Amino acid sequence: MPDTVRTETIILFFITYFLSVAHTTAAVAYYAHELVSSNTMTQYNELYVPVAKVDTDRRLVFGWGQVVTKNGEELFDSDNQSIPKSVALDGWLEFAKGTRMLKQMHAGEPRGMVPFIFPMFDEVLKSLGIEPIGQEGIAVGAYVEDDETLAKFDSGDFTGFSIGGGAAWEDVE
Amino acid sequence: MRFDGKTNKQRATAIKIGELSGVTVPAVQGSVATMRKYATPETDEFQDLAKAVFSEVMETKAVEESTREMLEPLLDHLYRSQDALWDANRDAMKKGNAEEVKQNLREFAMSIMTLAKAAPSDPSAYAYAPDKEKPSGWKLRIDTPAHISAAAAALSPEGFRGNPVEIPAADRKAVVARVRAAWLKAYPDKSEADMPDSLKKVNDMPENVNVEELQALAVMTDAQKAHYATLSDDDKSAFVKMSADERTATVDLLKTTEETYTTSKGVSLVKSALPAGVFEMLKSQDEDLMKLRGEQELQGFVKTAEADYQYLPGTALAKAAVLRDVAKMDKGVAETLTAALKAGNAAMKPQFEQHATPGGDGMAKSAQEEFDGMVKVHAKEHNVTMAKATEAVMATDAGAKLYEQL
Repeated sequence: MPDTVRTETIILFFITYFLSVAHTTAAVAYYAHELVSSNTMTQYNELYVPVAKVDTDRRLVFGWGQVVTKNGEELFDSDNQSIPKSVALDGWLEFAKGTRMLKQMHAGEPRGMVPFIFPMFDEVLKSLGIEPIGQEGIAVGAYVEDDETLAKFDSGDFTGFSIGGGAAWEDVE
Repeated sequence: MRFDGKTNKQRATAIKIGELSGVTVPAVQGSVATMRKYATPETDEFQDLAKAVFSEVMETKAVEESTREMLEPLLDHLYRSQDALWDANRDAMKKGNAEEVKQNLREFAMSIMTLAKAAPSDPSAYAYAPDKEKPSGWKLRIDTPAHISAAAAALSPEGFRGNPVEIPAADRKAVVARVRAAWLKAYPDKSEADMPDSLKKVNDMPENVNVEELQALAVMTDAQKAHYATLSDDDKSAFVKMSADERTATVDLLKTTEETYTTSKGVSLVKSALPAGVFEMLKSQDEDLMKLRGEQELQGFVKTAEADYQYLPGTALAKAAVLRDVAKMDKGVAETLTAALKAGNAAMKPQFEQHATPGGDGMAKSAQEEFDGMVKVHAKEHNVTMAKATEAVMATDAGAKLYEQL
């Protein structure tokens, strides 16, 4: 679907939702907040990274929440976009201080939360006596409260994590 | 896929993570870490996503608090607009006009955005914010392209929708510079050549240009400009600072108190409205012209007096002046007077003819001329003085009769 059409679809949906589906107050609160508080952060992005380990007894799933460098080089995605370490750290810090919400497929009700968040940066690892592993990013441990979601991680249906949110971008010279 | 449709390299300057999700195998399977934009979701899924986002936000108390103040006008706007929007779109959909539906939605979304951003509390959103603590004094929003364009229009002499912004002259240059910078940032694909004139002019303007004066002159009437040109520097400054109404009242007042002159052509001259010396020169020229015309006119009446009123008493020039004055009178009165004068002239005519005596050449002579002739002839014939000749002629019957007529 062309971008313009998608944008129109999004607008259509939002308005539809505002006017008929959701409680108007909730919709407007969100929309107004997004408009006012994040002028440039209007794109909704996801970052997919694979799950490393699933502990069904404790309902924990470990993995990379985000990867920012590979073999010492800044990682650009297929859209030629990257998130620097410092920007990622700030973003995850705010997330850690906030809801730490876990969902499935970026939809529906919360299915858990993310109690473990750690910056796997070379300098941090070295300070802890750990050798760099050729990849930098954010390691997470998610606590999955919802049985269905945990089952999907356990079965391999869910194979990775993806962050949902917004970003402000600048062109790289 | 990027929403902007571009493929150049970009780097995030800030991110905001709303949630972390467990996901299925992505399209870019095999990548250890790959950013992807989500594919277009199915309607239900997309709807669920949006609902979830709203729920999330509502769980965040800080968001509720920060938006509470703006909810009321937004809700009012939504309730007021939704029926009209649905009606418009229903009609458009019946016509099968998808573009119209999209346009209606865009406009509605823009109206919400405009309302949501109606009053930013950040003074940096304004080009003119003299007191950071007093939002009521902030002017010229520059936080969106639409506001920037409006600010540029407000800085022009014509103003935004006819309302030019009032900014102190000392601050104007800096204000325009801020709007210029915002414009260039908002329209990165455009050059300075595309910039509105109100922003261009200041850029090309010399340092010592008095923008306030130029703005005032741009809206002055010709009479006000003429008056302005006659003022001293201090008075000019005071005149510039006046409102348009005050300038009009000032010039009108001057018209009633200052020297004026109406030319022979009916043109009214106001001394203060003309450059120095021009009023006197025009007045003098017109007066000279009037005098010349008067003399020419009088000569015409002299001829009339000599031809038509030769028997009336007085010199031809004196009679011409009377005739000129009569000509200026009301037509009916002038005709009556003219008839009276002509009647008087006709009545006097016989008196002159009665005493005339036809001469040898056939021309009539007066009694005086005849008496004088008799005296001259007697003096010559008798070789006596004119006095003795006069006495002798008076002693004759003929001479005595002529003398009685003198």
